[in-house]
Amino acid sequence: MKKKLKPFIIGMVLILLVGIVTAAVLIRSATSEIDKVSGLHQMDTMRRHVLDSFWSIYKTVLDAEKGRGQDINAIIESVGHIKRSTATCNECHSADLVVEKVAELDARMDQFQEALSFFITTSANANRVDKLGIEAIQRGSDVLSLVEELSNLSATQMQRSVETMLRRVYYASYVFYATLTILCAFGIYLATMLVRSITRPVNALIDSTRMIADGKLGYRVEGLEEDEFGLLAANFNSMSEELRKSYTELGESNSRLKVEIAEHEKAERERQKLLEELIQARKLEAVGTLAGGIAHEFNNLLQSIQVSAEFMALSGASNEKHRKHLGVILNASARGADLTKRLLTFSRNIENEMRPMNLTGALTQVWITLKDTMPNNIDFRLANEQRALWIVGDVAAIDQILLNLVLNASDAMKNGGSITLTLSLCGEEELPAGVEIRREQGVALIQISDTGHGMDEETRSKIFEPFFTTKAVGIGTGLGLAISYGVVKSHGGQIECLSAPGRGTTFRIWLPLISPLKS
Amino acid sequence: MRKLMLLLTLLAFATPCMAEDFVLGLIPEQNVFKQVERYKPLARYLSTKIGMDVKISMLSRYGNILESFSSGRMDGAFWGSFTGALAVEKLGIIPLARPLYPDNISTYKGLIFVKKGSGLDSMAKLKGKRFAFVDRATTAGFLFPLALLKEQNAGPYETYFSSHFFTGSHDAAILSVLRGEADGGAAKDLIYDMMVKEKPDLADKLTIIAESEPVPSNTLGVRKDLPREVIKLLREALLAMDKDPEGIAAIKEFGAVKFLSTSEEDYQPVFKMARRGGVNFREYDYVNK
Repeated sequence: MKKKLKPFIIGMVLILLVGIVTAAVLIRSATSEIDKVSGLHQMDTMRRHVLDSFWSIYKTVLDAEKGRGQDINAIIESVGHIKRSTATCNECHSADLVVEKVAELDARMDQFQEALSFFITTSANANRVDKLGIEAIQRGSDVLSLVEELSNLSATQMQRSVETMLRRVYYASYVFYATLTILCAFGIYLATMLVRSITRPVNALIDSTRMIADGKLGYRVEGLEEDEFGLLAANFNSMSEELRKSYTELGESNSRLKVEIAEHEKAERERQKLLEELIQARKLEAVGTLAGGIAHEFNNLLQSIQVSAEFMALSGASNEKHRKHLGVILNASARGADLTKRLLTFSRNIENEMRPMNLTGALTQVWITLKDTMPNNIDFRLANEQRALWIVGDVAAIDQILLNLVLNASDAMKNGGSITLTLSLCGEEELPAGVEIRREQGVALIQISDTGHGMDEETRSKIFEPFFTTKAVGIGTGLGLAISYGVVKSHGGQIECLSAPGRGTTFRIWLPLISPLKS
Repeated sequence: MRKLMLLLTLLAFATPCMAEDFVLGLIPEQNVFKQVERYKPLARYLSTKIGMDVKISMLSRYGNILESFSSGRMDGAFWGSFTGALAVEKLGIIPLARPLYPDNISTYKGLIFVKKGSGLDSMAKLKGKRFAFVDRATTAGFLFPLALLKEQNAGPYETYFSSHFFTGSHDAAILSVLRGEADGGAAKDLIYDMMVKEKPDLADKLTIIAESEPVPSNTLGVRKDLPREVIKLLREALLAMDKDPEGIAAIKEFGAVKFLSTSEEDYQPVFKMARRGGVNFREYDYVNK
């Protein structure tokens, strides 16, 4: 800002100086003219003075008697006075014309003096006296006329000088006004520039703060000059940059926090899941214990009923109607016994007989057992190419769950389909996330998949719950899958159900393997 | 206290500003204006010396001086030789000093002159011509030509010349002849020389046909009843002027070198001339006709 304005300020000062000097010079010359004028005025005064002197001399001269008598001293004084007056002209004037004229005046004065002297001193011859008197007067007239001429000259000169002086004064005033006007214009321009030089950067800065407020962090104010505002802008820019950095960092730490939170949440969910599993396990345990207890008692009761009913049947109870009723009793009780046995089996899961067993053999056995009993419209396959896969487990339990799952599959395909029973070795990378299982010796994967009607999500999520069944009351107990879940869990494995409506169902069971040499 | 008052009073009276005037008369031997200018420095100098204000009083005529003097209006004057002699005789003035001009001139001579080439080379030749006198009361301008005429037994001058007039001052007489207003004229040589100095070609235009004996140049003479003290101071001032630097300056402007003591004795030539011209001083009528 200052750099641009410096030349202007200098310019203003220069113009001011020039104006003042010019005006001063003009005024000075004008005042010197005044001196001239006053000098010329003096000339006029002298002229009158000379005239007065001459008249007094003339009067004396014309009076013949007096003229040559006592007043001679006075005349001498007067004339001397005049001579002295005219002598002063040369003191001031140096111009050729003036000097010439004054010299002539001097000469004429001398002639006058001479003539006058002759007149004064002469005597006797009256004619001569008069003649001399006339001559003296003539000489005097010569002087007067010259004085008049000079006076006119000086008057003209005075006029000119006055005019010149006035002109100079006018010029001076013009110069003065012009200077004022120019200075005003400059001043206004300067003021405008100054104001702009402040408002422009200020506005830029205001805009930039708005930018920041609108979220454009890192916005830079550019194009300001290197002055106080420039400094402010630079600081602003660095502040803006800092803000952006901080914001970015905050964002990053925010993301990191989110990740951490997500992880925490995940962990929390895991915990929750484990908790649920625990609760589930406990429930099952509780139910199992309860079931076991009741079942035992119930079994005994049933035994009694069965025995009694058999006895009655054997004793040849008479009538048809009685036999029918006995048959019902026997059937129901048998079923009850069966149910109880199941229940017991369920509760007995806690007391499994764990020993090394061959999964491959178990599966093959199940397949052989069931394949013939399958309806015709179901294609029951076994994909079991693996060699022996050993686990530590309860053969009966394993059998049971396999049976259960296959039977469930077949129940889901009343109109036919296919059931595939697969056993494979599960690689490390094939293990889905979330499967927590001992994998040092490997993991086996049993899959039972069908092409039945599938399940919706709501059903699938509840499938392992005890007493949850989709079958009608009296036909399904809702315990099969719950038992399967418990068995798998007690074997250190994991069971999973994948299903979608219309797409069939697949049950997956992972079990930890052992090295075959273990016993 | 009383003594102090007395002293103050005396002092008051003794101050120079209570000086009286000393009226110094001048006879118009030349252009009155020029003459006054010439004598002014001298007057100023003398004022300082005698403690009186020396005032110059120019006279229009030679004759006036005696009247002015006798009626007591002057204290001293620079007398011409004729007027001086008259004054000595009639008024008993006391001559004091006269100027010594360059070239040791303290006297002057009367000259008769004519226009060069006019052929009028003697007074005899001037008979019936026009003549310019200066004043009946001058030596060079009247007495001398008168004496010459008397020697010729010419008779009264009024009839000898065809016309005559009195110019009043010596330079006027010279100029009259020069301008052809007169055929012959008489004037004192000092004035003649002064004029030649101013205008050298003057000498070529005029011829001097007669010269008189030297007579004392204008002398300062004072009235006999002037206080002794003043006379003494004046005499001393004049005679010592050339030794005082201020005095030298004043004398130079006057045109002289120093002042010489002058007495009645110095006027003897004038008296002689007067006898020759048949002029009786006691009864002389000096009014110009």
